Amino acid sequence: MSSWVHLLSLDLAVVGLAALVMLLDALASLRGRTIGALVVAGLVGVLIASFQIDVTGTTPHGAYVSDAWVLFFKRIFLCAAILGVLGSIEWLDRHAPKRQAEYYALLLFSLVGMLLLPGARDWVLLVVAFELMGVPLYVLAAYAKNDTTPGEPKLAAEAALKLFVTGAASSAFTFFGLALLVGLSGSTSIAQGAQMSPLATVGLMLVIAGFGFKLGAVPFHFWVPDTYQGAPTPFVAFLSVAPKAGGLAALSVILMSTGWVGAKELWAPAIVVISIASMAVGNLFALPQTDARRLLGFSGIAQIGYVLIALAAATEQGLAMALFFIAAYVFTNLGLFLVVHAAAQDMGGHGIAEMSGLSRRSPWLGGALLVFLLSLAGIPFVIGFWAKLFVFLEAYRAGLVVPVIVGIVLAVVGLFYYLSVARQTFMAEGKSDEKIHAGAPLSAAIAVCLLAVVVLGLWPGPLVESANAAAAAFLGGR
Amino acid sequence: MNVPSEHLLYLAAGLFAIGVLGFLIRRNVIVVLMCIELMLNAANLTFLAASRQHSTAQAANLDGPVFAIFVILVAACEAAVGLALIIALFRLKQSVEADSLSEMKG
Amino acid sequence: MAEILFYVLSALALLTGFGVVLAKSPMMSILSLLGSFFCLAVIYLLAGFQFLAAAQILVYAGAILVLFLFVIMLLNLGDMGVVAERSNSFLDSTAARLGAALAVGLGVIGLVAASKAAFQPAQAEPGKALDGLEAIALQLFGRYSLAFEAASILLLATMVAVIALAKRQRKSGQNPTQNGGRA
Repeated sequence: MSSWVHLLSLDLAVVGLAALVMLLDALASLRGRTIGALVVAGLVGVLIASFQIDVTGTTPHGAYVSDAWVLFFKRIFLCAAILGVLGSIEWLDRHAPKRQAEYYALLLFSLVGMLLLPGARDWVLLVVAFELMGVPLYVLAAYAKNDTTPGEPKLAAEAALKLFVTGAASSAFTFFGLALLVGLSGSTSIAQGAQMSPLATVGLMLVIAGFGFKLGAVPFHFWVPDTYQGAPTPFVAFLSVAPKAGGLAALSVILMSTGWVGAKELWAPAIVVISIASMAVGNLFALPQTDARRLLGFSGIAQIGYVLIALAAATEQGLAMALFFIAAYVFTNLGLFLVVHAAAQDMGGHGIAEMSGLSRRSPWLGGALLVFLLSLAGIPFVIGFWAKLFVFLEAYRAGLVVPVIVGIVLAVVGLFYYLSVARQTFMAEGKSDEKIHAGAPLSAAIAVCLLAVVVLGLWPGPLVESANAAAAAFLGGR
Repeated sequence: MNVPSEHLLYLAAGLFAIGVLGFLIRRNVIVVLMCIELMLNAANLTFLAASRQHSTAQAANLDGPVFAIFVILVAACEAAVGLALIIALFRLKQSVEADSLSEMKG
Repeated sequence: MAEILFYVLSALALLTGFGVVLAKSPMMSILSLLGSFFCLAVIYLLAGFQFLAAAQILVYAGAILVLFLFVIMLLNLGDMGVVAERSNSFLDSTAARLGAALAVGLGVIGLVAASKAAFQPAQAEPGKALDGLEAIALQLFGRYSLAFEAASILLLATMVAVIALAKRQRKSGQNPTQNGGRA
């Protein structure tokens, strides 16, 4: 018992933090921003601890494996959670001052699910962790209660219900597919693949469909724009990155494990189709959008398309570059959503038209927005450029020429709408010249994202190395 | 019972198909949720059928029943959260306006 | 005897399943679902899964469906039917949706039929329950202990989530006890 509990010390610390938050709220009834600060401090502590303590090993029966792969993902999730909480502090204090503890506790519970995902080597643990990640998100999406803006609470409830209905259906698909796979292989170990048969194919496709939902990849993307538009923006910043990284972790654990990597001829084409469809739908539907959140929703669908090409390559380098891409995406997209949130608070709406004159009203927010947009578009010397380049390169090496060409063409289309947003903020005349006030925690979160995007863009080496090490540890230890 | 396990699978596939059908054609969210429960039950039946097939007279295969217990747990969690969301939305709609759930399009 | 019972119950389970989808009022849907679950519970029992049959009745029929029933009656939806319509941007016409659903269903059934040999041939029928309580408990606290603990966190998270949702009805500055009766 005692010999393996330390493998889960980071996860347990987050559970403890969630419990502490709820207890403190009940006993000390903290007000204002204290709880948020406490959560950030705790999560930063866990993140630092992830570099300090040794958590490598395997639990009995091999249900959970902790290695460099798991640590890479855990750090991504922790970073996303820290930045997401930082971005939410002010919004929460203003809009739901009495329900702060629940918000943070739910976010932390979802984080625990994510932390468990990449190390799960047993179907049962994997799906329970996946549900643990998903269930709190449904409620967090509905968190815009006494909003004074007319229609906002209703939009939030609608967004949450959409997220829930698609999510619940996708988990039903996953379970049915799993029942077929587990039935065929006779074991709940993921590494225990089944002999391929029509039935196993159906099972595998159902499972991919179920996990593809959280990624927001194309046939399962219907919830994305609506939920992004309706749910509270600081939460969407977290929702748009962390569960996607979780979905990628789960899909890689399934597809690249010994049992299923052999069936590559079967699932790789499916992933390629999903990837091409995601890039096409994401980029083309983003063009006519007038709401920044919906635009970012479709752009996120497109970005997931790029990541899936790397996964479809089914090589160690491909997997490593998928990790690099998702890390880049986390910082870029989170930062971008937080800038949109900061701007929308003072500019009266989330429309792209409302962003006009942002650079004049707040040069640093405008600049940050530009950098994030360039990163998503894949312009050189910010992190997004390397991410796209590496992903396309590895996919090309694995022989996926057509998806790479489609991806490059659609990336050029993407350039158009990213830059048109940038043009709006820099060239267009704003309604007023009043300065925009973004509070300290929000500014700090944006600054961290900006720093990560710029520094890693100029110096991507260390991140590439650790992504390589993570992929090698995962594939070597399987 | 001397029924071949394939027949359990046929029943499960049929129930799952009915659930998918309901999920696609029904627009009342509560009924959609029920259809999802039906799909989860089909999954449970499949788990049990598979477990039955892998069991021998000496050793029962318990993966199926254990997995089914977790499916029931997840179903309970989802039903609780989903129904709470529906109640929240219903109250908002009643107090704001009784409109259909399509504020956002695209 | 048991075989005949199985086929009768299967037919009933499918029929009541259709009832869930086709019933006009949510109340009829929920009663159909209840019937379907009962049939399934008996089928579990016939197949040798005694614990699962009990869990099916106690948890599914006893708790989850009662929760549904409770919500339907609370919202007074007996015959109103349209509490919250889903957005229909996807597969708008009923015909298209029916076709899609039929295709999915036929595909699944056809594939199951096509791969009859995929599952190993059935073993000799064990006389006792396939899911002895003791054996299940040993599995849950042994091989699946980690998932079991994660499940406890999932339940806690669900509880917090539902409470956070119920709490949202309170306007700021309002007396907390004022809404207790409504929830």
